[in-house]
Amino acid sequence: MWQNLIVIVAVSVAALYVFWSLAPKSVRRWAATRWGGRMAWLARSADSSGCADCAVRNNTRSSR
Amino acid sequence: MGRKGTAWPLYSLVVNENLSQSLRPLSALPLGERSVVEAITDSTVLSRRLLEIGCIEGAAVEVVAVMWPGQDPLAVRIGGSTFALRRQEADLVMVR
Amino acid sequence: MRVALIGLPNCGKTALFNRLTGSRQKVANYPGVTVERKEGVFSDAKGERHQLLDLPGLYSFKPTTLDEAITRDVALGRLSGEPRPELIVLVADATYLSLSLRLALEARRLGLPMILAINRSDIARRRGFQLDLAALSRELGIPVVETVATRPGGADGVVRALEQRAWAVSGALEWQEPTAEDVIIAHREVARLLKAAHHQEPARSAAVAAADRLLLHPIFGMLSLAVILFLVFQAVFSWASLPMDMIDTGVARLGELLATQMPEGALRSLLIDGVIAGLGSVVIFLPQILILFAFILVLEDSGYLPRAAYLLDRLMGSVGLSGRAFIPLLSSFACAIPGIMATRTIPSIRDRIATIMVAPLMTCSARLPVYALLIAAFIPDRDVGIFNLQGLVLFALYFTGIISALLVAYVIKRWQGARDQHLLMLELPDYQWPNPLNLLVGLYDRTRIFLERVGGIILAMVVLLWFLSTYPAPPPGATAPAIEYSFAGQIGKALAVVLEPIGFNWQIAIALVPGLAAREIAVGALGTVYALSGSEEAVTGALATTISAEWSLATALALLAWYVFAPQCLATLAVVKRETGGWRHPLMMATYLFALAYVAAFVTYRLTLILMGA
Repeated sequence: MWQNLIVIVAVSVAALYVFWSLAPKSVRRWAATRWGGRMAWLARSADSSGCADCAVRNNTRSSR
Repeated sequence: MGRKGTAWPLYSLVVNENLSQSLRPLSALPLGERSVVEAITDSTVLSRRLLEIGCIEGAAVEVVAVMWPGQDPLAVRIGGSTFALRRQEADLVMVR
Repeated sequence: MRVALIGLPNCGKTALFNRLTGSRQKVANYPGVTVERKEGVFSDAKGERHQLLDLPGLYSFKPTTLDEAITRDVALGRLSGEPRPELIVLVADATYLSLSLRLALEARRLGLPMILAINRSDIARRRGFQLDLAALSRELGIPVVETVATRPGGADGVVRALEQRAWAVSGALEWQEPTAEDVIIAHREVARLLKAAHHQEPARSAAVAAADRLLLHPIFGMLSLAVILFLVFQAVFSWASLPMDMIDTGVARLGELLATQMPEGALRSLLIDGVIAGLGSVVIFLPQILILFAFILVLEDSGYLPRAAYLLDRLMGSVGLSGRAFIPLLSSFACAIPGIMATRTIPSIRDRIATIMVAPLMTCSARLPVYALLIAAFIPDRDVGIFNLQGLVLFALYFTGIISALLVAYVIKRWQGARDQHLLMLELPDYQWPNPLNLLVGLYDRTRIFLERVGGIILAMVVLLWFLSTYPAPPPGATAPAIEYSFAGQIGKALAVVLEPIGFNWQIAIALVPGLAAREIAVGALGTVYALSGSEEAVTGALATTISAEWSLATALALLAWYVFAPQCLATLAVVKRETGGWRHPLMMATYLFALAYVAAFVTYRLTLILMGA
């Protein structure tokens, strides 16, 4: 049923996302260079982790 | 430049004979009393920073707050702004 | 043109930056260090676009801290990957001009074109400030303008000076670090310049002096600090209850809607038990997080924080920390990461590392949902005297975090051994009314970040968790709730063996694992897990009701104790690694936090059981 298909897709995407956010930089870089040609955004996001990214913007007070 | 451990004779054309007699460290300045800086004891980083924020000879200082117990730290008015200084930092500044 | 803003800390440089660039800013890090790099764009009347860099404030070009070193290196073009600015705008504070001018004289030696912007001129003029700008400009050989960064159009002077290109390039002087004698000579020169420009120094603000008589007073000052902190915690609970109820009802309605509209099946379960139950239980805490943030922003903007650092310096000194550590540690209440980044203002490396190591104990806002959930479920909403009991317990939790941070710092310092010269020398700037625009922008930013986290990693985790908790499906004729047969159930039961001595059941065990990515997930995970366990309430949003029925008080308290110390999210570990240059410190941090968490939970659990006579 199409419902189950949606579920499978959603879970796979979620798993990939989690892996991508938590994987160490070297692994992400490797993945980006391997497939980066077709997915340029992959390469860009390899330089920042999903978690650490928001951390930079989490700053409450910038340079005094 | 002054040698380590001695009081820097600061850039001044007038030799003050009374230098040693009426000096006390900034940490001994009572709350609310105003005074004038005479010298800074050389202690590298700390004294250099004090110099930069305006603790030069002839500069007006005033102690605006003192912590309890132990007068450490103090809040001092210098160079047009207020700074919190530890006792050991304020000890480096000799005032009249 | 590439323009850089240089100035003393607290001179209003950032306000000027915001005034010029509006919302066109980009925040990142300088390569290799966790010093924030703020870059923006502004246009002049001719439509030409210029790049503006907000450099960290510094007192002198002989740096004492990391961020001062960054400013010097960027200005000299020594920082790899960062091109040298083409123009310096030196931002001076009109309320005490001499110090800024001394810095300007040092900056002149950089050999770069320079404009002097005298900021806060409105406030200074009200207090009697006077200056012959043209005369000063003549003497210095650079354009001098007045700015009022807090008013629209207040930065126009800078833009006009930029257009006119009226500066004289002082030639590429050979850079030499200023010596102590140079500083003394500079002070004298400043006095001469100000006299030549008929400078009238503004009178000291009577209001600030009066406020300081109270707030810096050894006894009343401390009392005020305690009152302020207490107020914050009470507000976090009492002010948030209405918006929280609204979100609660909204989530519940959404769940009901889907339940009636969709056919039974995997997708419906994913949406209701996974997404709604999971995300709903996290989103509900947004009001509390925002209130906490609002208070922190107000305190930072107002200029009060250095006073608090002054009051607490003795206390911090007794465990070997600098009073300067207070501000980074307070920032850690919002999120440990900017707190850790803020330690760049601590000159001593050992102090800095000690502060970094204890920063995670400062209850970051991601712990708040967990605390709030458990308090709501287990602490009665009563009043004890004038205090609300729930707010009181929250305060106690934060307090415990602080005390343990001090204790751990003490241990670290003893272990480190050598004594450094601690620099306090902290400027106490004039108080300012917090800028409401800044506040709103800050809160909006914070909301956006929170929702991005929720819609990003938390959503992904919750979906995964739902999957792991639903499959494999229970065999026919099974009696226990379906979730116990799933992957998650099995993993949880395995972990529960380790966690049972501290009173954690397997549902908690499952919830803790994804918490490594983002602490709030624990709440979302619990939401999903209990929804799948068949309890109605979890789906309708009242997770608190569910767990108050199912857990014992001892378990709840043990979980609270665990969370006071719990190892922090991976992002924090990554920042610590970047900041300390290796895995050693992050690993030590994670280990000691984990150990403390386990021990604390154990002691709390057993103690509660004994005291309750179970």
